[in-house]
Amino acid sequence: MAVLLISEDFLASDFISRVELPELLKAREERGLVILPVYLSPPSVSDYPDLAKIQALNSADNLLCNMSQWDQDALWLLMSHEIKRAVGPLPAESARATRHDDRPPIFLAPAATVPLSEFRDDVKDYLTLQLPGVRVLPEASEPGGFVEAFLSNVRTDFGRAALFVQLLDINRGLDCFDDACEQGSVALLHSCALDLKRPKEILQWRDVKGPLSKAADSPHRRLLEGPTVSTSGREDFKRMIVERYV
Amino acid sequence: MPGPRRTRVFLSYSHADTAWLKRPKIFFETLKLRGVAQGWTDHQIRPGDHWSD
Repeated sequence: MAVLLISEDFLASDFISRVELPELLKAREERGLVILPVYLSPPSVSDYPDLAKIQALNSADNLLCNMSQWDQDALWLLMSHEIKRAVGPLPAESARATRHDDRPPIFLAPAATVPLSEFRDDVKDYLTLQLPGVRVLPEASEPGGFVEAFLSNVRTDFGRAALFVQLLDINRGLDCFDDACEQGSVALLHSCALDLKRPKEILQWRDVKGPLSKAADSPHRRLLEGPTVSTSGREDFKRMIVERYV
Repeated sequence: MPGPRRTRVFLSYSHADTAWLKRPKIFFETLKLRGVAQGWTDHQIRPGDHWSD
C-alpha cells in the first residue's frame, strides 16, 4: 500500500513524476497495489488522469492545508482506518493453507528500496509457486526495530536456511533501525552471512540499469561489485535461485 | 494464490512538504506498535539522484 501526500511540490518533483509515481501506478495496475492519495494543497492533478481517478482520502474542496489541527488529525485517523482495512488482519486460513515441509528455508533478504520491495514480492511469489512447501525467510520482511534484536532473529534464520538471496540496487536504501548503526541493513545482513558461513550459498542480484558510478558510497559499491552478485535479467535471476536451491 | 502479507505502507511525498509529515508519522507509529502496518519512506534515493538516466 502507498499513501501519497499530493501537492504542487509533489507533482513538480522530477524524481516523483518521472520515477516514483509511474512505478507506483504501474504496481497498482499490475499487482493491485492500494494507493491512497491525500490532497495537501491544490495540485494540477488533471495532468495525471491515472492519479486523479483514484479515490482519495479527502476531496479538492477539503484540502489538508486548509484544515484545523483537529480536522487534520481526524483525517490521519481516517488514514489509519483505511490502512487497517487495506492491510487486513492476518488471514488465519491462508496462513494455514501454506504447509511448509522439512526442507531448509531460503533467506530472501528484506528489500531496502521501493523498486526492490516490489521485485522481492515477485521473487517470493515465484519461489512459493516453484518450490511449494519451502519456507521463505524472514517471516517479517521489514528491517526495523533494534539492530541487536533484528540480528538475533537473523542469526536463527541463517542457521536454518540453505540459501541467502539479496536484491541490490545502487541506492543503499533506507535503514529504519531505532538505534544508531554505522552499517546499513543491506551490508549488515551480507556480512553477517559471510561471518557465520551460513547460509552456505549466497546469491545476490543487482539491477544493471543503475550505473555503478552513481552508487552512494564506496563500501556499498564494493558490495555491488562482489563476486556473488548477478546482473542477469529478473526472470533469469528468479530461475537461478530455484536452480541453485535444488 | 499465495501472496505476501502486505503490511508495508509506503509514504510518498515531496521534500518541500516534510513539515506535514509530523502528524501522520505519529499515526504510523501507532500502527507499527499494534503490529498492523509499518510506514516507510524512501528518502535515501530522493536527493535529486537521476539514477535512472
